[in-house]
Amino acid sequence: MPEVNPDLANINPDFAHSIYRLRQKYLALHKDGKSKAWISKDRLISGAGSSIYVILATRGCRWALSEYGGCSICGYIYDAKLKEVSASSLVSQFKNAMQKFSNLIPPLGIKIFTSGSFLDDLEVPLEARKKILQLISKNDLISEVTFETRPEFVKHDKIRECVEILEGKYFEVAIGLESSNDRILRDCINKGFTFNDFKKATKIVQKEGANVKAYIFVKPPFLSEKEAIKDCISSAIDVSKVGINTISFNPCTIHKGTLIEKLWKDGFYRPPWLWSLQYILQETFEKAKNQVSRIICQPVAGGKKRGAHNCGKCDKQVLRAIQQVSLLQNLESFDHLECECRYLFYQLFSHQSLS
Amino acid sequence: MRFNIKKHDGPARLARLTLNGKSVNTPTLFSLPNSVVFSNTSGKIDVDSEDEILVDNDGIKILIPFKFQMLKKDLREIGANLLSKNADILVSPPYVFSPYHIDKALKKSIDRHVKIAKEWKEVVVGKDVASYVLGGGSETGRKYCAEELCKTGYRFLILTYPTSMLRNPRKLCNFLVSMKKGAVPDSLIYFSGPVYPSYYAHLIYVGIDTFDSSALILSAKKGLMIFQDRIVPVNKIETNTCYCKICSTYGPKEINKLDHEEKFRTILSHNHTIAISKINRIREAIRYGELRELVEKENHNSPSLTAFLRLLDHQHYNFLEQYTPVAKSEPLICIGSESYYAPQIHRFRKRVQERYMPLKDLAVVVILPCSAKKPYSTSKTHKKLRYATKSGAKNKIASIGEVIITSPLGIVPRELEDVYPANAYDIPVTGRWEKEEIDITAECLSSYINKLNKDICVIAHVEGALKEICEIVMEKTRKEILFTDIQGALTSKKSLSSLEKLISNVTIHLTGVLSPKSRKIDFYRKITDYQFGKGSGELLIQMNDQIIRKRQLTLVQDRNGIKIAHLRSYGLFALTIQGGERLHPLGSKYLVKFDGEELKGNSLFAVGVSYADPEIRPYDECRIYDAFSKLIATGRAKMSGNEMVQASSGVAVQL
Repeated sequence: MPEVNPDLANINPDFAHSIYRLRQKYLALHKDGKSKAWISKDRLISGAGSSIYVILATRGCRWALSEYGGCSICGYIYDAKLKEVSASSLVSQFKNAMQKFSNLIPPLGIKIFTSGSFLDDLEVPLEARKKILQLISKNDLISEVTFETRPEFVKHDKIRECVEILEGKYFEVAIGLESSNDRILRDCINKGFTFNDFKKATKIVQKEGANVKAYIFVKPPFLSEKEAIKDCISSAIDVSKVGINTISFNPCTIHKGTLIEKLWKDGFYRPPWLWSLQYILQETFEKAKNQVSRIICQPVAGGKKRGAHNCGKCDKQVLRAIQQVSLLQNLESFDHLECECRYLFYQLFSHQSLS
Repeated sequence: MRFNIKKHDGPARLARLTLNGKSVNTPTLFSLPNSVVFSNTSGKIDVDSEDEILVDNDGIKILIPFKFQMLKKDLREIGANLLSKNADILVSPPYVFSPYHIDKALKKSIDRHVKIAKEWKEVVVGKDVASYVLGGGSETGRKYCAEELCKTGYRFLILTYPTSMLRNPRKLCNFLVSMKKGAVPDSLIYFSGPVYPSYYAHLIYVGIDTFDSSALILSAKKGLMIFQDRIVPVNKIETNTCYCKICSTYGPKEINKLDHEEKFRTILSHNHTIAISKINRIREAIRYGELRELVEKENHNSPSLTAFLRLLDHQHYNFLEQYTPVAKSEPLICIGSESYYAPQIHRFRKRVQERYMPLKDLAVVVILPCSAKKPYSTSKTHKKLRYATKSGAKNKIASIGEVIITSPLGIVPRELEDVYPANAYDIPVTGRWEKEEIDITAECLSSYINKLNKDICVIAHVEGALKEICEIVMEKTRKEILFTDIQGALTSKKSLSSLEKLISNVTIHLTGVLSPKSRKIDFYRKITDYQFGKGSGELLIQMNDQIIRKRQLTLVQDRNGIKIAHLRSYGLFALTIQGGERLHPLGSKYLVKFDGEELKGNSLFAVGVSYADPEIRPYDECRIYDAFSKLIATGRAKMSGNEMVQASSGVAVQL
């Protein structure tokens, strides 16, 4: 079990333990993870464009493998290899992924996910990180680089190194904050860090001349739709004050082998409505857009049972609108959106989410 | 907050809730106020209001705070904020935790929740408070949470439950019962979240007091109209079947043509009418003591309801029986298999098996079929049968016992035919018996036969399925049963004479027959045994007592003419002080301890009760002792023993 040193004040031990037990059960059934890559439309800092998404199969997120069980909402750990992955193997994973794409058209961004932290030396050894970033740096088509990490791995020297290698390219460190409310982080998500840790990491990144992207989770477990909306908006306002560049709303997707899946199966949870996403985007565009360069939302499994969805009739239409809003960074696409289910009552489920 | 329980029917109750000077009768329905219901029509969600308000029709407001305020503000601040809002009851902010906590972790989390609730009471001094009963999927957790909250003084408990589990009757039923067991009997239970009106009767039967209108709104938003027994999309309704104010103004087609907003309002208003009428119907049923029958009727609305009641009857008989009155004035109607294990019926069978012993010095037992008219002896058939028995036995009639076999009561000895429910049940009679009925009855009859002396002769004057039962019993108990020769009907001349002859054959050589007087005393002792337990008959009615009928009342007097007891209309004894004294050796049985100074008026209130026999059921006769162990009164219980001790208000015993 890899070593983690979280501040115990930020952990609800009972909650963490119940996640841990579930995690152990599912890890035992684990099959080997593989790297994945795809390309899709995205909002870049320079305007609409596309992004390459590369998912590297590393040994897995340190937090999820720890005795604290990881986050209640995250099942990316099951995509990992769960064993030592050498630097050369990671580099070849990356090369193979990049070979898949021919005739790329700029503007182009690249996003590297490791199902954990790209800056964690245990997951991505130093040489591998260097080599991958060098490869990206050499590719002139790519103008924008994003990778994901937990805030505890954000260190001055590491960021400086990345900035040096990627010279000239727009470079963003993505941190899955999920919420700016520490109680939600502790008692709903089991995140293991606080908003303050996020702020500290942000300061480090900014000092080294790079940028921060914050992921905000839409609808953590135990919250009603209304409470989740409220939390997302206040989180967005909070992070915008810290001076980050990008806010990305991540509506819940129910991963296999997570606590949220169990809650969902037992009727304690429903993924958010697309109407909620619309509302959140509208509000945050109004209240936080001036402080950040972009606000995006790309629902995974949108319209499906396990992802954010509406009644089934209007899902496609609303999803398209949300995509357009992310891409164009204006709310015009939301005009004239209408469906019967829009009137379904949000507040109704407020007690239900309680256990 | 005051919550006065006025009437019980099973665990269900009619009560009056008083909050902040406003009163409402329960069971009731809390509505989400119009401002909340309609706030979404503009597409705007009202997220700025952190708290939600629920309103009852009579204007009672419940305020539910936003769950996660706790981080940014402390409890005091939240409390001050809520106090400024104009509500009658404030819900303590719940401590949110994973529903999968077990054992220690669960206990710890619940303790934390209760601690917040405790502090909450101090924060909002002077206001009424409510709290959530948390505990996830764990029954013991919910029970523990309810217990702890009640200890802290909470009497308004809110239940949350995922709707999808409403379709899991086993979980729902275990969960509700264990929660109810944890809560103090006179605490109000509010089942929050979308519950459809078809569930109301069953849930109220278990002891839920209020629901909210969320299911009505939800279905109205989806264009679903709720009717008494079904839910239909409005565009599929061909003909109007409802005559509520809405439906008599608009036909279904017209509703369908309305614009979105109007359609929703119209359907909601209709749904609301239906839900209210359903609740009113249930209130009426409780008032007349026929909720069980209503629940059995509603059973057929869905398989999960049927399963719910079955599981309830089989797994939680003790819980149901505890609150089920031992008498009522209306007939008990048993339509189908769901009645076999109704608590009233099941209790009768159990008590006959456990408390009843056959009459003294019997020589012959005659097994008879039941009659449609109750009590049996008033029916034509039984009159004829008894006449034949009498003329067969001549002066030895006192040595003959009669027992009636019937479904679903099993057996009814003649002595108990006036006792509820034997005196007032009604069943469909076809002569066709189901396997389960046969099994139940055979078991009851075997247990009776096993109690008989070896040399007692058993005669059965029955046919069809009843004969079959006797044959099963014969095999089971190895006791020979003589069958009469039935030709044609049971009451045909030939059949009757066969009965007469058989009886005369077996009684002709009898000697040492009881005198009619001692037989009469023994007869009434059996009722006492049934009522107060084995052995109490000999205590209450002594050999030199007189049993007389006076102004249509059956009285027990001692030889000086002092009244000991009289029979009530439902066949159980009402005691006088002297009668109570005689039962003194029963000890704590049917005993209530009063710890006040002096009893005034004709009721003993639950506040004054320091101990009550947990065996006491509503309508049971009980003896009231003061702190110095002196009998001070007797009376009829209005609640069950446990409730008398735990409840802080309401009439415990009617003197």
